[in-house]
Amino acid sequence: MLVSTARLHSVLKTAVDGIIVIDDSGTVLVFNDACVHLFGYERDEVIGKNVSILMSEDDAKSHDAHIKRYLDTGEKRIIGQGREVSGCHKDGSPIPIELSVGEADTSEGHQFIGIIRDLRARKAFEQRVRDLQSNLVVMTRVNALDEMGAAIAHEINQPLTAVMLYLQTAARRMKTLEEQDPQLLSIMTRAVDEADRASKIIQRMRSFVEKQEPQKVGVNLASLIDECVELVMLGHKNDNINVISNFSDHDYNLTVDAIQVQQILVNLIRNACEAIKDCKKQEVYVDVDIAATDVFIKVTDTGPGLCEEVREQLFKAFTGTKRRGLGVGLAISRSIAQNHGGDLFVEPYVKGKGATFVLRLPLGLDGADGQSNLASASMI
Amino acid sequence: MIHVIEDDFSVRDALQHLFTELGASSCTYSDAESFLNFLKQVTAKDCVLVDLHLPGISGVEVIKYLRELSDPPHIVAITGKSLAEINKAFTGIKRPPIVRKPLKEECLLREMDLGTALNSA
Ligand SMILES: Nc1ncnc2c1ncn2[C@@H]1O[C@H](COP(=O)(O)OP(=O)(O)OP(=O)(O)O)[C@@H](O)[C@H]1O
Ligand SMILES: [Mg+2]
Repeated sequence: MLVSTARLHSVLKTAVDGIIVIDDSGTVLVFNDACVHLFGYERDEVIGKNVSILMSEDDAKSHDAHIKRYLDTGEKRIIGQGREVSGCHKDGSPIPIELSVGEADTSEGHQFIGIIRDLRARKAFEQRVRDLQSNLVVMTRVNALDEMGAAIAHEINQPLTAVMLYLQTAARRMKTLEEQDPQLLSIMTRAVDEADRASKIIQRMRSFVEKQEPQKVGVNLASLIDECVELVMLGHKNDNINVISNFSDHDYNLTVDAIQVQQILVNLIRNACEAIKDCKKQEVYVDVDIAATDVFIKVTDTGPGLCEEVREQLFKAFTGTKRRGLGVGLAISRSIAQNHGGDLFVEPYVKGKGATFVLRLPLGLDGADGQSNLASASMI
Repeated sequence: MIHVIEDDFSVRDALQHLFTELGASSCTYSDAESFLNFLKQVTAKDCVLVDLHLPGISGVEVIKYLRELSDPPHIVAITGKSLAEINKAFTGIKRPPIVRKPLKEECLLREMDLGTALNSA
């Protein structure tokens, strides 16, 4: 008897799951260490009390009735099967738990044994995955639309400018010719009007984008990077890819539009993961260099790298080589970076090395991250 | 003389055709560096049309150099950049007239002091 009591105690003590034993009136007889940890109550605060203090208000009210009904009718509601319920911490906060209940007839009467598994970590993880996934959708869709508009506007501007000017000059020249051709002149005028219409569309697109200035706030750079890595890894769960952030200064804050910067980094890391798919070594590193007036965030991969000819085209929209990609990621990313007063570029090709993309972000103007630097720079 | 500093070939070429048609002589440069070689020859009678987004030395830098001349020319900036970028580029610096791309003849000619440029042609 003594031996088995000692054994029981050590089981209760070492069990990772919470273990509670109650009698048929709901009074707590056993409350193990894991429970102390989980519910925040000391053992002697609970032993001898009704188990309902560990439950949400609704469950607590009906618990005694449940026990009674079971004892009277033998109808099982929870016994023998696990169920997700909500427990109540000493501080009143709800705790998601999985509860399985067994019963035993002992010399001291009918008893119920509850095994309790803490679901907080799992719930938090599930929530996080959901958040990240919806973030990803928002980031790559909604934001892409405006930024794509900006990128397109920017690229079309140049040829459109040339077309307008050529046409207007040609029309001007026509008018000075001795032999007038009213029909040709009218056709040219209409061509100018059409080019004008196109330029109005571009302007509208631009003013739409300009309404959405970056919302800069202080963000923790290390967590921002970690989150991006996590986001991309969601899509590469089963691959052997290793993404490593070498920046772990969790005290370093930067004033930026977090969503937009994340959008750039997600795109860079995702591109890198796609580039290394068929490589022997599949690693992506994120490094941070903090200089006097700028922060440089570098994404390096162990892929094939980017040769000179490809690099020229990289940041132009719709030049991607992937079947499923739109090929706008980098064009958009660069325009976001520039909208932030920063830039996005790729380091020169080194044979046998992967690609390194560098995102430059200026340190904020408002003193949160390096006002003194900027002030002295502008005084020179 | 009209000096055009613009990195996009077609835009540069179209501008030159326009000015030739208007009877003004123009000189084009594909970047700030090649223009700055001729900086000493620029006079108050000239007009300088400069793109803000240039490879290497930026358009804003060119504008600063021009203003330091004893006889600064009329300056017009052209740009495809967003308002925010324009604002940022000109923080603490007086702005010249700015014409945004896509350029239209009317807007451009309105801002350029073509009277002087044409006279000097
Ligand atoms: N790290 C890299 N290594 C090698 N090639 C790369 C790398 N990053 C980008 N590229 C090349 O640059 C192209 C353009 O990339 P970009 O992100 O603009 O478009 P995408 O990835 O093809 O499509 P999406 O619009 O979905 O991002 C890619 O298709 C790829 O060929
Ligand atoms: Mg991409």
